[in-house]
Amino acid sequence: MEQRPTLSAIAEKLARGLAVALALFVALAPFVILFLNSLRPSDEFLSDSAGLVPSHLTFEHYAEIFDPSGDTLRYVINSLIITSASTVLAVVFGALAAYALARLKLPFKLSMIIGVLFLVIRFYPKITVALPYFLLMRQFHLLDTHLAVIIAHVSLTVPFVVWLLLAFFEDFPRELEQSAMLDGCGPLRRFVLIVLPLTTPALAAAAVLTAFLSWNEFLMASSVAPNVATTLPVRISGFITDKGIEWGSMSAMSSVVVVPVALFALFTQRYLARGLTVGAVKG
Amino acid sequence: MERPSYGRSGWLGQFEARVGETGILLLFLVPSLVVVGFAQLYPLASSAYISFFDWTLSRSPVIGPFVGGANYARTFSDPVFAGSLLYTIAFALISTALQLVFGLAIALLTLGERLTLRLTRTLIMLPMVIAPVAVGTIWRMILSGRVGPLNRALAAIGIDGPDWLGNPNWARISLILIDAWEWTPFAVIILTAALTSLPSDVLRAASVDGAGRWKTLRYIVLPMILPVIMLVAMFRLIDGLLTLDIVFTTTAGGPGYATHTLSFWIYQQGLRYFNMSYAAAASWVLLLACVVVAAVFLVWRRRIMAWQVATRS
Amino acid sequence: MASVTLEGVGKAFGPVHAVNELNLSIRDGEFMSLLGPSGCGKTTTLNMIAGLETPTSGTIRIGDRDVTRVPAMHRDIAMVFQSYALYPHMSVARNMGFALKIQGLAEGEINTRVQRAAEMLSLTELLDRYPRQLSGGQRQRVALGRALVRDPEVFLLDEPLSNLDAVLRVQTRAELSRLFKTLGTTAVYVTHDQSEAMTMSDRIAVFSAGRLQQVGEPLEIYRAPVNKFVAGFVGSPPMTFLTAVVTDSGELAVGELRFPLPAGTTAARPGDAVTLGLRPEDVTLGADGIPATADIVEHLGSLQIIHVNAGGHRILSQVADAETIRRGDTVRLGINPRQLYLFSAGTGEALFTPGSLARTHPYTLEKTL
Repeated sequence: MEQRPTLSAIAEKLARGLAVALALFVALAPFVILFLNSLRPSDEFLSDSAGLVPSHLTFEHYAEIFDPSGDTLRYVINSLIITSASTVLAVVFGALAAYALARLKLPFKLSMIIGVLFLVIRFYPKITVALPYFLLMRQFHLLDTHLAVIIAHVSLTVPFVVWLLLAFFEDFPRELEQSAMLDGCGPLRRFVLIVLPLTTPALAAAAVLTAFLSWNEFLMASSVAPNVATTLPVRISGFITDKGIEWGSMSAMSSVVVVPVALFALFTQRYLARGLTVGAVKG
Repeated sequence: MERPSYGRSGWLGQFEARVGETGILLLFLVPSLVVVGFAQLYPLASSAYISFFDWTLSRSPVIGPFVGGANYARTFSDPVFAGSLLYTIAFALISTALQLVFGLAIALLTLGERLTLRLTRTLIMLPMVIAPVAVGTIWRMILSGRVGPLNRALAAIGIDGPDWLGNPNWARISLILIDAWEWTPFAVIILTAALTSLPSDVLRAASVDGAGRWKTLRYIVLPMILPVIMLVAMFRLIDGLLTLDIVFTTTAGGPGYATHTLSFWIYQQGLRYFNMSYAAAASWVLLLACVVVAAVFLVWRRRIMAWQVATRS
Repeated sequence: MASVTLEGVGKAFGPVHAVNELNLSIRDGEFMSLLGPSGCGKTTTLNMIAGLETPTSGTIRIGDRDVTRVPAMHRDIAMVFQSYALYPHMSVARNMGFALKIQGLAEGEINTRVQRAAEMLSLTELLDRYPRQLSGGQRQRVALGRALVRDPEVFLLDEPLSNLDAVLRVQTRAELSRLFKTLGTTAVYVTHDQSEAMTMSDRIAVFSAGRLQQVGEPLEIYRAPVNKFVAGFVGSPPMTFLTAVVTDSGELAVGELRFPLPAGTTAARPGDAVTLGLRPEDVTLGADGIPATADIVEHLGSLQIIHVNAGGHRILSQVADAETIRRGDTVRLGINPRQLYLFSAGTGEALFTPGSLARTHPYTLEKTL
């Protein structure tokens, strides 16, 4: 249809553009405000006259967080330790389990049960588990340790990893594995030497997904690690109970939680989208 | 030439030979099963067990006497529980509806492979990937009654903004809006995938038939992606019912009990007041509610898909 | 090097029987082809020998060892897959040395063996390349090299030439043949291409619908097929089949046409319904014989294939290039009664084949396949 763009077509394009711009604004403005506030000097938060942009930028809040002699660096380190360990363990355990599920010829009933199990794990209130888990950790004298949080995070994310990787392993070319079998490889060597090196994109997606979930996780971490092993998300929530909210510190700390994740998300967007839509669209 | 030891070299080979292929694969399952069993399944069972007893941790370090369904009965008569339940349901429903509406709108607006559109979709994704606690923090800052940027911006154009988080009714609304802000990107991503996977010949046939864009949308596109919409609705509804993180950092359930969601209330009962049994019972009520919702949705969705297949042929 | 013996081997996938009651002895050092159309069970049989599938009945022995329940990773067998199955993330050298590494051989030994195999297959320049950088023919050689390096007891090959283009295929066929003659290792070769089987094998095992039809040397299969299926499957262009009835006067009646009945045929009696088989090279065009009209003339360079119409029946004749026959020409078909094939119309079993005379009348196969 060769026509000169009609007035309504132009208006429509304009409206469309405006709508998208509005959506972007709503989505991103809060982040901007967060960053600006994290660079705002403390006294400006209480004064009514301060504008949207800080009068001058200050890094004092960040300095406070990363001060080695201070208190808050600990939280960053805890989060790093817990997220790294959880990601590694969840991907390893999950990949092994997914491979086993893909290769074991399970009776249909059993694989249906496992499928239902995953669904259940995705959808029940984690709070149901958090309380007894707290008691369990107390029983094992693991309260307030990194290990307690790591175990919790791994148990939460392994089902996702398995779900994500199962299809990949099932679709893995059988002849390559048959060749490896004839070369004398048992399941472990086949898995490590042949299958894993050739499924790195899927493993990367699983690792990214797990890292996100662990870094942002609040409930389990706050249930079992209120002090020593506390993570950043827990610490952030702790601000509200303090007298006189330190907006600057809170903004800075929130930024530390948010920025790595945001940057990571921008770079790995494809993996994230794939991880989320696996199974959802195929239905 | 006999070489019966083929494939059995080294300790690994010997081990694999002794245990056998199936044996080793079963071993692969063990770490995952152990971790999930230990940290999820056992606590689940334990929680169910506790809910039938009377136990307040602050009073006694060991579990108390058996009380049958007393804890469950108590939830039905507890006004705070009822209030939380009502708010949680409203919260989940309204927020999910908003997410679907805005999600679909944005998905349609940003459909396409041009760089700008892809970039927009990526940026729109940000609210979803950051920690929910951080979401709460950010919005607490923005919605703060006096110093918050939102009210200041409103004041600049002459509107006297309400106390978003201090007024009970506004607080309830604010939380719902914050949740919608956070999770709309989820709907965008999934709906975009669904929209792009639509067979183009159906859409072309529609335009040949003279259907305008709105009509195509309403009568063709929407029905075709209905199963996906339902899946998104199910995910978000259930997650909405379970909301905890943002309550923590925006209103701490307040003012008073106004913005208590069920999960938050259970958290307080269990880890603040140490009413372990009561909290356990309540959490199982919540769990069963989620199971029911999931079951209803899945059955409904399957019916719709079967209907789709039937009408298509 | 070892023999492979299959006794009573069967493989069922649920209700479907891929292989039934298979008894086959492959001799030490023999090159045996498993030939048949797709779905006939030849690949399943190969997989069972390899250990990639477990038989549902019967036993498999390699040499003296009963390997029926032994998993693939413990049999000492090398296999060349149809799709080559090269490890994409390893170089050619590492692909070839992989199995040896798993076996725990010393690195020096591995290198020596890889070098030797690479030389044998002209792969030495490609040792550092990766599979994705290689052409189809090169990949095929690497797959072969991987198997060679193993020095296994038995070689298995699953249609290794089917992914190559026609020219390369013929070339490689000859090279493979020479290679295996030199090596002398027992080899089991699966193919659906009868010319491959005929040219390369010491013996051929013909399969159809999960059952072994016949085992024998190529010429035996060609001249003394045991049933109609084998006769029709082996030989190109394929045999013409005509439905016939034995007349009282000792002839074969195909409609109006009369064909001579081979002397000394005891199995076919007057009144019997039989299927008559004629190989194109046995149907000559001459001065007298059965009248027919030439329908289609296919020129193949050194010879021609003429499709003739005799009394409503289509018969194929293969003649030298020199003859000039055009469409519509009337020709006369010369049939040598000794070169007829007779099969029971009901069971397809062979009643008479030229090969049954072969022991008393030795002859050579004239045409090149």
